[in-house]
This record gives sequence, C-alpha cells and structure tokens, in this order.
Amino acid sequence: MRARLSHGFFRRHPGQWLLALVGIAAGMAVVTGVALLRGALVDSLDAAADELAGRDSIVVRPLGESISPERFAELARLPGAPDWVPVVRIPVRVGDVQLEVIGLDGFSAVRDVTADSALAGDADRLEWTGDGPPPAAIGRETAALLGVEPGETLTLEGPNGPADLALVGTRGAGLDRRLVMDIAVAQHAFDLPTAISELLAPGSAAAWIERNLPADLQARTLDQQRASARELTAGLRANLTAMSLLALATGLFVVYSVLSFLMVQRRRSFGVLRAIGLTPGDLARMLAQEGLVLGALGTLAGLVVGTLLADLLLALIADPVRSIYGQLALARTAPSLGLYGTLFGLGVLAATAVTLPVVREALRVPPGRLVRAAEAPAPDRVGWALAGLPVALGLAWLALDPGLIAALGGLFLVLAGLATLIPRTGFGLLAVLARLAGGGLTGRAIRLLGGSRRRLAPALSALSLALALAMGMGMMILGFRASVDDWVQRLLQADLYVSATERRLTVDEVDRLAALDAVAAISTVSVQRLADQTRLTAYRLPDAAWSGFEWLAGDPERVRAGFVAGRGVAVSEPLARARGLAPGDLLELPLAGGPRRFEVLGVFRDYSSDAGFVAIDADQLTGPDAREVDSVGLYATPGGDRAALEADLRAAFGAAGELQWIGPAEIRDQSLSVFDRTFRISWAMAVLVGGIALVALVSALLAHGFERAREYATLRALGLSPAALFRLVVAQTLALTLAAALLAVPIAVVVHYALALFIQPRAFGWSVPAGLPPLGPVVVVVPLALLLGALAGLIPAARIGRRAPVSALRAG
Amino acid sequence: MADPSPVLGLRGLVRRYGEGPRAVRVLDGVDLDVRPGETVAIMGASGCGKSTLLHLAAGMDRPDAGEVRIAGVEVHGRPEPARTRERARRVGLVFQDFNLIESLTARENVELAVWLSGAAVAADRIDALAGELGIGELLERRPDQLSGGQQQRVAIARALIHGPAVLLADEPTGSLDRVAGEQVLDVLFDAARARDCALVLVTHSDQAAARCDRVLALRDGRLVPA
Ligand SMILES: Nc1ncnc2c1ncn2[C@@H]1O[C@H](COP(=O)(O)OP(=O)(O)OP(=O)(O)O)[C@@H](O)[C@H]1O
Ligand SMILES: [Mg+2]
Repeated sequence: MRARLSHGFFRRHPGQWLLALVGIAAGMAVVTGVALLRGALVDSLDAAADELAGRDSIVVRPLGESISPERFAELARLPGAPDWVPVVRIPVRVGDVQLEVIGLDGFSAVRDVTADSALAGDADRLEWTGDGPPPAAIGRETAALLGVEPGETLTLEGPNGPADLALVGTRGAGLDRRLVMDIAVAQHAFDLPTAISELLAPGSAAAWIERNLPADLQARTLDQQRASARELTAGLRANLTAMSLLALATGLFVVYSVLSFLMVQRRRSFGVLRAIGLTPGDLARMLAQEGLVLGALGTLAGLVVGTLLADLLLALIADPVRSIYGQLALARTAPSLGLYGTLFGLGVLAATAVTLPVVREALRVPPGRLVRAAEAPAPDRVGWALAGLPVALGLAWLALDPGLIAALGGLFLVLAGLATLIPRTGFGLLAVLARLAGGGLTGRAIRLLGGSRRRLAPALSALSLALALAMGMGMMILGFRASVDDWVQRLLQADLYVSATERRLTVDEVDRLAALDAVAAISTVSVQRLADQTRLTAYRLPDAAWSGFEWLAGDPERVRAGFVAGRGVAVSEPLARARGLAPGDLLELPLAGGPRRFEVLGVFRDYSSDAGFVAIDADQLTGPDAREVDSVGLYATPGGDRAALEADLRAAFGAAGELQWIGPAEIRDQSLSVFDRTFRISWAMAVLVGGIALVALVSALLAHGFERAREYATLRALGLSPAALFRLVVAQTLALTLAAALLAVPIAVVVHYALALFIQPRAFGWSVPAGLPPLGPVVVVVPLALLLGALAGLIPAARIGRRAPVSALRAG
Repeated sequence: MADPSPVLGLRGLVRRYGEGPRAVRVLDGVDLDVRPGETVAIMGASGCGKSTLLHLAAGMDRPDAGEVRIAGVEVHGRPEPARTRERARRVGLVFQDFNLIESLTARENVELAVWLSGAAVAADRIDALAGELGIGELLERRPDQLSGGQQQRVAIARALIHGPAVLLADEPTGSLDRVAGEQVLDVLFDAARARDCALVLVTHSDQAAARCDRVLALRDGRLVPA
C-alpha cells in the first residue's frame, strides 16, 4: 500500500521525479567519469609492465640522455652481469593521438625476463625480412582507438620523421597506446640507429646491480617505477576528484530542491494519511524507500552515462598527461565491478542523506487540520550563529589540517554556513526587486513570492550554491591562467632563447653565444634529475634575469647573494610544499660528486612542474658535463633587438639548424597553449557543473510553477487574464533566478578563492595569487541563467494559461 | 414594472464531457435569468453538474452550446481575455474550499480583487467591509492563521470588494460546521443585499436554500423549480 501511495504520487508528478533523477544521475555521472579516468591514468603503466616483464624486474635508466651502444657493450661485459634486455621507447603520434613504440631485443630474451607474456608468443611474427613495412604488434584497444585493423599499414610520426609499419595483432593485453617491435627494426624504422632507452634485468640480478651499477645509471624495480609514476599524477587526480565531488554536490542540490518542492505538494496528503492512521514510522519508511529507489535508479543511470563520459574526458586529458608527465594513459577506461559497487554505494548514500531533511519535515506534518495546507509560520530568524558555526568550523579545519581533504571539507562547511544565509538575503533582494518593479503586475508578482519564503528557501539556497560552484570553478581556471601568463612573462627576461635539437649545448657553443656582438649578457639553464628523482636546475644568471623570480619566501637580496656565493639553493613552491621546506632549512642533494647539504634560501613561484625543482648556481656543479647547458638566454645590447640577435646567430652558426631559437612571446604562447590543453578537462568539469546547476535552476522553477498551479488558477478565476498570468509567472521565475544568480556571485568568489588558495596548492603544490577574481564566468552564467529562468517560467505559464482555470481548481 | 435586464442570463447551455458515444451531457439546455439583487439557490444531487454550471456562468469554462450574458454582456463566444475581464469586473466568486492565496495576508487577498477588477476602491472600504463581515481584526493574518469560517469571510470580502453585479457561491459552507456555516451565510446574504448584488448559491442545505428568493434544482441537465 505504501508503495502504491508513492507510485501514485510519482505518476502525478513524473516530470519532477525525473528531474530529481537527472540531478543524481548527472552528479554521479561526473564522479563515475572521473573515477574511471583516474584509473585509466595510472593503470596503463601497471598493465604494460605486467605485459612486458615481471613486477620484480629491474629497469636501468641513464640519468641523462640515452645509453650508447658502446656503453651497453661495456655493461654486458662486466663480470657476472645479468642478461640485459635493451629497450628503446620512441614517442610517436598518429594524428592527435600520442603513442609509444617499444623496441625489445630478441623476444627469446624477453621470455626469460617475463613470466608468461602473451606477447612472447608473437615473437616470430615480429621478425622483419626487409620486404614491405616493418611489423609492429598492436593490441585490440589501441587498434580500436586508432580505427585500424591488424594487417593494415599505419603511418606513425616519429621524432625523426614518419615511418610506415605493418600492424600485427597481439592478444597481449595492457599495451594501450603502445606498439611493440623488435629493437633493431624499430631503431631502423624510426632512424634512431643507436638509441637505447633502458635496460631490463630479471629481479634475481638485484644484488649484482646494487653492487656494480655505475653512478650515472639508475636502477629501480618496476614496482618502484610505478609508484613514483603514480605520485607524479597524484595532484592531477586529486584535483579531478575534488572537481567531481563539487559536481556531485551540485547534483545533490538539484535533488534537494526538487524533493522539498514535492514535499510541499504532499503535505496535505501526509496530513490526511496521518489523520487516518499512518504512523510517523510508516511515513518515514515510505519516504526513505522513495529516497532509496530514487538514489538507486539515479545512480545506475549515472554509472552508465559516466562510463560514456569517461572516454570523452580521457580523450581530453590523455595528450597533456603524455606531454607533461610523460605517461601514457589506457586507450579506453576500464570499468570494474568493484569500482561500480563503490560508486553505487556512494550515490545511494548521498541521495538518501539528501532525503533526510525532507523526511524530517514530513514527520512534522500534524495529522488533521487538512484544509490548512499551508505551512506553519516561517522560522525566519536563522541566527547568525547558525550560519557562523559551520563557517567557523570549516575555516578552522582549513587552517589546522594542511591536507586536501580538509580543504574540500572546509569548503563544504563554509558553503553550508553560507547556504543558511541565502534565503534571508535572497528575500531581502526580492523585496528590493519588488520595490523597483513598482505597483504593477511585475511588482505584485514578485511580492507574491515573498509570501512563501519557506517553500522557496531551499530551492533558492540550492540554486545559488549550484550556480556559485560553476562560476567559481570558471573563475579559478581563468584566474589561474592569468597567473600563469604573468609568471611566464615575468620569467622570460631574455630577448631570445637558444637550444639545440636532441642534445645539450657545449661549452664552446655557450662561449660563442656570449661573444656575439649583439649579445650583452647570457643566462644558462641546465636541468638534471638526481638519483632521488629530484629535478635540479642549474642557473647562471645575469642581473637582468633575477627579476624573473617572484619570491614567495625569503628576502630577494639575501637569496641572490647567498645563491651566487654558493651558500644555498632556492626551491620552487611545489617542492617546498611537498617537502615542507622554508628558508633556513637544510636540503641534502645527491650530486654527482657525492651528497651535499645546502641551505634553502628562498621559495619562488613556478608553474612549470607540479613535482617542483631545486634551483642551484651552476658553479656549484662539478663533473665532466657540468658545463653543458640545455638552453641559453640572450640579452640584447642596449639599443639592440631581436632582429640583430638573430642576424648574429645566423652569421655565427649558419642557418642550417644546428641550433634553434625562440622569443619570449612564442614561449609564452606555447606555455599558455599547454595550459589550455591541460585545463581543457577542468573547463569540461566547470561546464558539467554549470550544466547541472542549470538543470537545478530549471527543475526548481518548473517545480515552483507546477506547485503554484492552484494559486494561479484562483487568480485566473478572480479575473487575471491568461496573458497577465503568463507575465506574472515569468516575472516570478525571472526574479527568483535573478536573486539566486546575484547571490551566487559573492559565493562564487568564495569558491574561487577556496579553489585558488587552498585546493590548488594542496593538490598541485602551487598557489594562485589572490588578485581580483575574473568576472568572465559571471558574464556568461548569469545571462544564461536568466534566459533559462525565463524559459523555465514559460513552460508552466503556457501550461497554466492554456488550461481552463476550472481544472486546476478541481485538481486541488 | 418592466422587468429590468438580468445581471446573469443563461440560454440553452449545453456542456458535454468526453468524446463520441461515451460523451456525457452534464448540462443539457440550462436556462436562467437572475435579476439585480435577486438571490437564487441551485440544488441537486452530487455530480449533477452544479459546479459545472457556475463555472460556465463565471466564464471560466466554455459551453458546447448556448449563451452566457453577464450584466447584459455576451460572454460565451468571446475570447478568453475578454471573458476574464468581465469576470474580474462583474462577478464575485466564493468556493467551497476558500482558495485564498496562502502567501498573502487577508488584506492582501482582498486587495487582489481590487487590483484585478481595476475598480477604484478606497483603502478604508476594505476595513469597512471586513468589519461588516466580522473579520475587521483579522486582516493582517495569513490564511493559515484563520479558522475555516474566518477564511470564508475573507473570501467573501474578496468576492464583494469590487462591487460585482452577481456573486456566484459554490457550496460556501460545505467545509464548515453548522454554526460557522450559518454565520457565514448570514454575512453573505446581508452583505449581498446591502449592495443590491445578485447571488447564485449552490447548496445542499434546505435551510440555506430557503433564504433565497428562488430555489431551482438541476435535474437531468436542466434547471427546474424545486
Ligand atoms: N473534466 C471533467 N471530465 C469529465 N467529467 C467531468 C469533468 N469535470 C466534471 N465532470 C463530471 O461532470 C459531472 C458534474 O460535475 P460537477 O462538479 O459539476 O458536479 P456537482 O453537481 O458540482 O457535484 P457536487 O455536488 O458533488 O459538487 C460529474 O459527474 C463529474 O464526474
Ligand atoms: Mg460541485
């Protein structure tokens, strides 16, 4: 019988239930999409590692460039050396899709290293007789991603030009975005005759490697390698999760606002039911069941849509992840029952939690007094204390706990506190709007809204928060982009940057650059990775370059003096944050000549790497290639310009292209385009949240319109014409939208600062300067909301206008 | 004395529900003239079409055939806005379940009718009428703070404030107990008579009907003297 009551109500208001379903489904779709995406970002490495070699296999990599054939021969000749399997990894692309070609030596050797790889069975088919294009093994998922079939020939763009490969199907799973070839064939096909990227050895060789490996090579087990790779993208994944939770929260606002409207419509029947003997327990159970069914159905829909969404998101992010973190993602997301189970639980739990306040209100409906369908007098005075408490708790949590979870939790608490203030402020705003609109129809329409505060309050809060989250995310992205732009422009003090293709610049070349007529001064940068994976950047900087640093901690003059004197190093903000470093701390670096300790002199802003790096004066480094550099910044003589520099460069080095150079403007453009590609996914999230917010808006306004059917019918009966009613309804929805949107703006600013000052730093390690928030999202979202608000008013208005007032009156 | 033109004139009203062979003719040729100030009771079994008849008379619904004139103005064939305008100006409506706007105070509910009719009504007229109806002290309350009888008096004030030619009341005491019902009828009749406003009262109560100048019954879709 309970089910029948629910069902009957459901049948009468299918549209509103559907909107609540959409709310849950949309929120869960984003959460699901991101959860799957996270998996695809880290699982690829696991799968590929499993396919190529056992998990305890050891990978030996050079700290610098690739391993030369001579070096390899030397290593193989050492007494007791294991059977090395040389591997070449070649970054290639097909159109927009980034792939990797893995060249392995002699599959028989691989078979010794690997346990039981399906790939090993394909060895014979990868031999190349020299006729036709060289063969390469491709997995099913990758072939599907590229839209090719085994047997076809595929052209790949390699670092030294294109190569045609004959595709051979492999059953080997886990080779997403990777093609496997024989190493000699791969080196030949891609014109990299001597390249060896790494050496594989069986786990049993660990002891030997520990004792005998030269210092410029580094050995790690595949497991270690995977762990550090996971760490690389941890910030990105955490950030995505945070965004997806905001999307879920927005979806839940939709559910809440729809449910509370439905609640108002059902008060009367709850009163009747209670009067004829339904116990509060029965009523609570009935509503809880509805919540469960709603949550379950919505979550199921969310899982399905999210699975589709995941692959779209993956397409957006696979490319930047490859170029920024050097990692290949899976070709396709790989859902698992376990993950679905967890997400399902989350969705149902969240939906049920949202129905709780509604259940509580239902239990307060007194039995009887049926004709008084109206609300109890509104408890207007939500004290400041009630709002202040969650805000204070949230801020305290933020301040006391430096974790990302605390940042998110704190943000939610602060928003919850603000949400309690929204109705009061919102209705104040409506009163002002009504006064501005005057005594005509519009003013009256808005004043009519003021009478039903209690019904509208939850919707108004939900709408404002949903709109605020969407705008806040957009503000954060725009603000962040502007900061990156400022940072790049400030950093690039030189007039031209020179580097070589595929190698470093020699001491001789650096000296010749410094000696050019048009050059007043040079800066040099060389980057290396230390044994503990720390990135170390050695600088030699002229005076002019120092203003390129923005110091977040440490006195600029002192930092500079100490740096040049070799007393200490500077660290980038993400590194400082990750390791808890502040000026005055000591940092030990495993340099080529042995470990050395340096004082941390200062912390500077940097957005180039979320792992962070250490900046050191170039003179502190010793060793054979310590004076080779990655790039040289040229500072023109006073009165000189870029053209003069370029003319000098061409004269001294020829136009042949041994060296390449690029100006600050181009670097800035490139950096911003990298940023844009990286943040495409954040935009996607902001747009998704915005979409859900607009669904919330439309659903709340439709619910409002339908809820008012009887009131509108009475007005019609009393003599309000259909056209006037139409205007009245639209004026009401527009006023509500305007109030919600206006309130959303300051909250969006709060969200913006929370994301920029707490969540970004805690996810990525970098902060965004607290400037004025960009208003672009407001300019987009508010008019869009008003447009949709008007449309959402038109639907019920048209329906009510068309309907004879009689039927709405009868329907009661 | 010449018969003054009726404030409400119904001629051959037909109203069907449903389509084709399953259509039901709820009204099948209703004729009625209500003179200014006249009170008419309409009785009949539940479901016989009394409310349907009132809705047609108020111009809230369109007849399938027949004519409706309010204060001499033909309404039945006119477009919705015109019908609405006539209703707002010349008709007052009282419902069984009050239908006050929940979010407005009693005073605002009454003002609503002033605004909709476009009539020029001085503010103190509302207080005067409310006093007459016995709700002078209650004007600032909202419907949920009023008893049923009080709510219905507010509804009556709303129906009368703009000086309509005819008041259409559909079982105005149907939701009230006997005492409250009688009190409401008292003020309804008194206020209508005081304004020379005609009243069409749909009721199940013989006593209520007995207060009217004429009592009619709706039977088989037609009005016949009771
Ligand atoms: N929209 C509709 N569609 C179909 N039939 C309807 C519709 N509205 C009313 N009816 C039918 O028309 C008949 C008359 O209804 P109406 O409400 O006018 O009766 P009534 O005389 O006012 O009854 P009561 O005394 O119970 O209020 C009823 O049988 C009802 O079922
Ligand atoms: Mg009736």
